[in-house]
Amino acid sequence: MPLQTPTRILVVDDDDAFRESVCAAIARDDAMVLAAQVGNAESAREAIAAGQFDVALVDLGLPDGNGIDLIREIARTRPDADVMVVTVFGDEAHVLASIEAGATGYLLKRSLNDTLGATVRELRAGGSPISPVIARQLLHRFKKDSPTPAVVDDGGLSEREREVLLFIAKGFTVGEIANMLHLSAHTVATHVKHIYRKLAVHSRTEAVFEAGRMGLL
Amino acid sequence: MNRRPGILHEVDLARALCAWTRACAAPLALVLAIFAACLPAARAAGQAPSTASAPATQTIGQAEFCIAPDLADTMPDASCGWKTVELAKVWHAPRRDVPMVDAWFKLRFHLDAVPGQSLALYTVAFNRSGRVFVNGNLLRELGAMRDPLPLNWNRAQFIVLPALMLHAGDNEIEIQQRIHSYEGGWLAPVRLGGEDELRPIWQRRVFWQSDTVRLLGSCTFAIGVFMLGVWLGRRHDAMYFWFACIALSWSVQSLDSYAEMPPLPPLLWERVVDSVPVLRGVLMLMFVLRYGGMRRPVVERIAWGYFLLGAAAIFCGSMPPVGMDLWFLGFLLASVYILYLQVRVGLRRSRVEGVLLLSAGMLDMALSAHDLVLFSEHTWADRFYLAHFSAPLYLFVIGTILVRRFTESLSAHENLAAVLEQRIDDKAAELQRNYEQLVEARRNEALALERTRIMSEMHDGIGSQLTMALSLVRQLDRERNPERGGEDGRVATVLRESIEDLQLIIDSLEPVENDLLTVLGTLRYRLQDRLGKSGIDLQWNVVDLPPLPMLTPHSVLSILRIVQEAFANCLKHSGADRISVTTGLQGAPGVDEKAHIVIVDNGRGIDLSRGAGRGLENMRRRAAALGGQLKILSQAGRTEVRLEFPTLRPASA
Repeated sequence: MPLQTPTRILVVDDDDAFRESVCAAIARDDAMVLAAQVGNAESAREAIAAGQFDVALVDLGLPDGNGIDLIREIARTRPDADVMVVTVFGDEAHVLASIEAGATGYLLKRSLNDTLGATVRELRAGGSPISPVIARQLLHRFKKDSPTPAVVDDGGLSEREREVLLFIAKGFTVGEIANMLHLSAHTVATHVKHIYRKLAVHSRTEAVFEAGRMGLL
Repeated sequence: MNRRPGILHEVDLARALCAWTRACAAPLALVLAIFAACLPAARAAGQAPSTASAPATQTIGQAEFCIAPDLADTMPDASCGWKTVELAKVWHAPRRDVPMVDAWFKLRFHLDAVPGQSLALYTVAFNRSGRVFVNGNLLRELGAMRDPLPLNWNRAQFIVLPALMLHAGDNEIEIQQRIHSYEGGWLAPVRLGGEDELRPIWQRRVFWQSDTVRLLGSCTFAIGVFMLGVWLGRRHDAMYFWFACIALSWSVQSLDSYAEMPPLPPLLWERVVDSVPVLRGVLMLMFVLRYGGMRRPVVERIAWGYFLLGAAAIFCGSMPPVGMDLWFLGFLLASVYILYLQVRVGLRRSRVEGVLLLSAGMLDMALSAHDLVLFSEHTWADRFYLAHFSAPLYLFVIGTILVRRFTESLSAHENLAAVLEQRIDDKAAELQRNYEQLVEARRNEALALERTRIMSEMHDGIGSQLTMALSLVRQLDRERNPERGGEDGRVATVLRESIEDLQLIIDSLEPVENDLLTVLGTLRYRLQDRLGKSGIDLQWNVVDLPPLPMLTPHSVLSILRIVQEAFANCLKHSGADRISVTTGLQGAPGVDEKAHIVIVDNGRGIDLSRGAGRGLENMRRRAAALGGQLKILSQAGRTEVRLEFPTLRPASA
């Protein structure tokens, strides 16, 4: 990770105190620099259009719009950027919806001060966080949606990816999985990010398919 | 093949027979040998008269014979041209332009004295009708003397000679014999003896040669009608039709052996009797083909053509004797082919069936051959014709096979019905299961919707507010007490714990698909940072467990709280640097099965003697609510918290 160019962070949240606290945390860390901080969807779209960021922290509940749309927008216009969704509980419903829209990570609002720096570094290095429940849901999602997992680029999981998800669902940490599969911890985390990307591609394909079926396309 | 020869053309037939028996000699000899071994009784009966005759019994083997110039009631005089002939005598009408012709036989015998009891005459064959005179006096008519003459060809005659009509010295018996001019007449050797000695011999012959045939003919007729009924119910199963035809044709043919007056005029009847054996062969061919599920259009057409051609010639009266013989010869050869066909078809179904059909067919051929040889000898000895036993036996074997096949298909049908019923039951059960799954899915869907709604409320509502409050308090803390270096104050701690508790509730609502490891893994995931900061090494010694039905959101929350409390104890008080989490199952699957979670740390231990603290009290209460129990073993350096609970969902839940 080239440390000489700090990661530019875009913060989208309508909670002023939270934004302030995030900005403080960014300011404390040399590896990060604040790109912009906005409190509503409209300003967020402008910032996204300007494109001067590497990582976007997005809150889902905005007064004038849906965070999911913003994530989708970023995934479309800035595929090289990472989106982290900011949630209160990291629950499966919110996180999975965000991942489907294109997010590659998520943060718990209450512990953000402690974890922001580490998570952003991990994310930029190619790894994504994942909880057992989300791993289980992903396994479920891929099994349900693709009965023939042979074709990998259409969203099916590789055998290794499936293995990783299964271990995570059973409560093993990335480090433990790396040991069991004789991989580096980083590789395991990279697998997770790939899976997230696949889910997003998969969801888009599905949306196109659905739209086509409904006569929208 | 049970054919009466000789009425129209006995000499030519005998020739044909010789040709045929020569051709079939080897296999037939074998079968005949078996047959001879099997039926010694019949043979004994046939030979009985020659060995066990009464002292008075004698055989008259010679007679004076002449063909009368006209039909008269009195014996012709010497001008008739009497000559001495050997019995059996076969004769033909010298002219065909009259309907009937008479011949006369004079049989002489000597009596030393007038016997004290009646004597009797016995002869095995007498064709066709006639009168018997004793010493010039009419004793008996052997049948009507008018057209149509009765059918007597194979009927043994028994005539009692009253002692009154006899006298010592030479006696003469005159026999008037009347035939249709188109047929042959014959008289077998005549035996003379005591009435008591000859009567049983005659009765036995009548029983075996007429009564039995009548019985078998009736049975065959019944079988034929029954099979015809079966076929009417199963038109597509042509074999039943053909079998019925065979049986009926045989029962018609058997009339020739016992009926005195057949249902048709004599000449027509002769022609029918001449044609039926070949017809039966064609019917047999049709039956065997259908039975084997085969169609041989060419063979079938040839067979029918062959039969119709011959029958037409017979009925037009234009069949020359040699043509008749060839016609029968062809039929005999064909019957070997039919036998081969039916054995092959039988063997395809089962060995028993094949062997049965082969035996019956061979027996039929052997007995027919026996009869033909008997005819061809022209001795008219007192021996039994046998073919009319083999044909019904043959039909009986085939009938048995058909019945067996019928019952088999009935059973198969019943089995099929049972299988279908089973399938319907299975389907019904499956439908029921599907329905239950659907209900369950609907319920889950409703629950999921509700869960999403509550989550969303908590997330955007109280969760966000508490988080906001926490961040405000922390901000204030940092401003007012910068010396604490970001450490949470009392208010912040309470807020953080509230959020964590809320987090626990949210986690308990997450879809874990009844996987205990996902439940425990979620908790581990939440505590990971804190454990890491405390420098605690967590050993995850879990084994995979099957889905546990008891893992409802409610019980998940209980388990999460118990385990969280156990972790909290380790983190806060024990000073441990290593914690292990183990899972497992014990007991037989079902109500006895229990899952366990064991958490062991290497801390300083809990002093259980001082009474459990509020935390432990809560853990025990929650364990009891799960229907399980909590066991704690604590000593310095090792504290084990063991939670056990049944894997099935409690019935009340």
